[in-house]
Amino acid sequence: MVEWSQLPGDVLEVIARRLTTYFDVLRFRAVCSSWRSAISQRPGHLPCRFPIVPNEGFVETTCGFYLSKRTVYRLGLPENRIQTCIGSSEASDGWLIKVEEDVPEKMHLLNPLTMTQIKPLPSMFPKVLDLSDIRISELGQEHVLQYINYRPFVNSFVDAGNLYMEKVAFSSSNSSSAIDDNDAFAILTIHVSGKLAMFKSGDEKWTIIEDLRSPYDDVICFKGKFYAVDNTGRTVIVEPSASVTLTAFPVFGGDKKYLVESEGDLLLVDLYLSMGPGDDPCFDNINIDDEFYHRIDTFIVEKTVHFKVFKLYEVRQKWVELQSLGDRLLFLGDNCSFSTSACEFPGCKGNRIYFTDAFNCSNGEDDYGFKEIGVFNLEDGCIGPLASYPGYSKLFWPPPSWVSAPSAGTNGNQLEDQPACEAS
Amino acid sequence: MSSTKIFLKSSDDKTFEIDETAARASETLKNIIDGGCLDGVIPLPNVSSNILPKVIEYCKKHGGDNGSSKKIANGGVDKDKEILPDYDEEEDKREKVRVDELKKWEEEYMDFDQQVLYDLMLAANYLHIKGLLDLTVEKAASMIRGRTPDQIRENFNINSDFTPEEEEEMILIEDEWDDEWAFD
Repeated sequence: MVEWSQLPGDVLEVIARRLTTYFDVLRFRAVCSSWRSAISQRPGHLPCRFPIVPNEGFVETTCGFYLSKRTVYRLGLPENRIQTCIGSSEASDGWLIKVEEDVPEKMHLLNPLTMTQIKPLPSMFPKVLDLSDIRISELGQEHVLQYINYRPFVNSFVDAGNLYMEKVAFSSSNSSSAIDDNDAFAILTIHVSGKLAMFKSGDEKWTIIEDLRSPYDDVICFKGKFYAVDNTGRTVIVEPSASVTLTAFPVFGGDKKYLVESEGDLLLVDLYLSMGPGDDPCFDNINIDDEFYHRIDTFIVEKTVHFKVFKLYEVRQKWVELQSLGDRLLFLGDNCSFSTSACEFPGCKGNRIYFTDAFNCSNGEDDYGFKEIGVFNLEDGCIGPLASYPGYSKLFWPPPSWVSAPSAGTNGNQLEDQPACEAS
Repeated sequence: MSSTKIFLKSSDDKTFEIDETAARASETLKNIIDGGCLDGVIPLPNVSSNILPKVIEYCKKHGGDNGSSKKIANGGVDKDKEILPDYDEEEDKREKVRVDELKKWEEEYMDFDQQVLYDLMLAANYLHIKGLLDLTVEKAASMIRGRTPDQIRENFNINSDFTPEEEEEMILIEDEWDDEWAFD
């Protein structure tokens, strides 16, 4: 029998370096003492460690920003627990959630695609979620620049705490989760002018990159490099020196471009807006759910009607359109985009795009922004709000029974296997 | 392709033959060859005859390409139907076939039990075969990701050997056994 606890330190270290999420590193260290010594430092909690980002050269309305990090997780029961939870049809459900850690170690739960905090937590929700027997995988991360003095603005603007709600791409010299105060980092975001703005550790002010042709739509850190796409689909790599290199020619077409990583490829998602159904001959063949528009018919709002997906062929500087995403699900959030395999969420089929839109402007109580989420099927072009697709909404909200009511749906004698949730 | 033959001797004194070009996939063997101290047979006291043929199989497949299996792995996920412009369709098809073929080979090659994974990982580390180390380490990491410490121990047949003091420290100070989220 091989002794995995006896693996040489250098090999253990190489394995540990492949674990990029906080929980994986934490759990690796808890296996045995030799594994523990392979990662000497406990992984750091990012949010309280970021330096203050000065605003000089950026905008003049605030004294600075700080950077907060949020992580999107897929939670699920481990296989052995699913087998013991006979009688609970929800036992195999995966749950998608975004978490922001505050000081000191308080977690905020957020809608995975928007910046809406789930607060107050519904009464059925545990105040403390024990993760020691839950499968947890990280699907994405987002970084948000927030005003340091945002409190005074809270009553005057909605979401004034976020810098124009533009996406922030973050890159660190240390790719593992064991991040250190001394690690160099860089931030790329989009300035209010549509130009790119970059800040590197050690910088005194932001660098505005003056290469503007068309306003930038999205930024991403892909394989350690910053990529930015403008409104035409023209895509550049942004070097640490703040110079830009063309990496793909424009695709034109739609109204807003998103960059998403999927299985090691960089994808471009092109979102098409329209003033209403049937007013554009291009979309005549698209099956649009009536109720989808009925909800907002009193507002003059542009609606998302279609998507196209492209894959980057860097050698040819080209975006090539994909007819199918296979079993992939793409998620286009306000602050981050991510992807996963549909088999992570039983009951969901792949080839779908989740996005946010103004489906419901009334923003009723207890919906936590989930009504703003829509689903697009790349196979048949169908589009509609999440609520019309029960199988697809259950990965968002409400949480599966094994989270919100862990004793329900299982036999009483298996209660000991359940996570310890303290309802208060 | 004509190439000089190199002989490798396993820890249990069995000799295996490999082409020099293939052997160069190993940084360690490459240094021995280039160093000119090649004296008939290269002894490998850390690699047994059970695992050496598996290592040689990898080197034969990857000799000469600097072992960048990462590139192959990334380009390989390509089940999407794509619209490609006419002019480079052929070139793309050939590339796709090559990548798919390598991907399939890797899948079959990596189909083994934990004992082999363990030995192969150590051999790749000792012989400095980067591509093979990447493959094996990734397989091990995939058995760790998303799992709880108990599940990881079960996967790898490891017994927890923490002293009561260490456990105490983890629970009290680092909270590592009992990771949980407290919501506000």
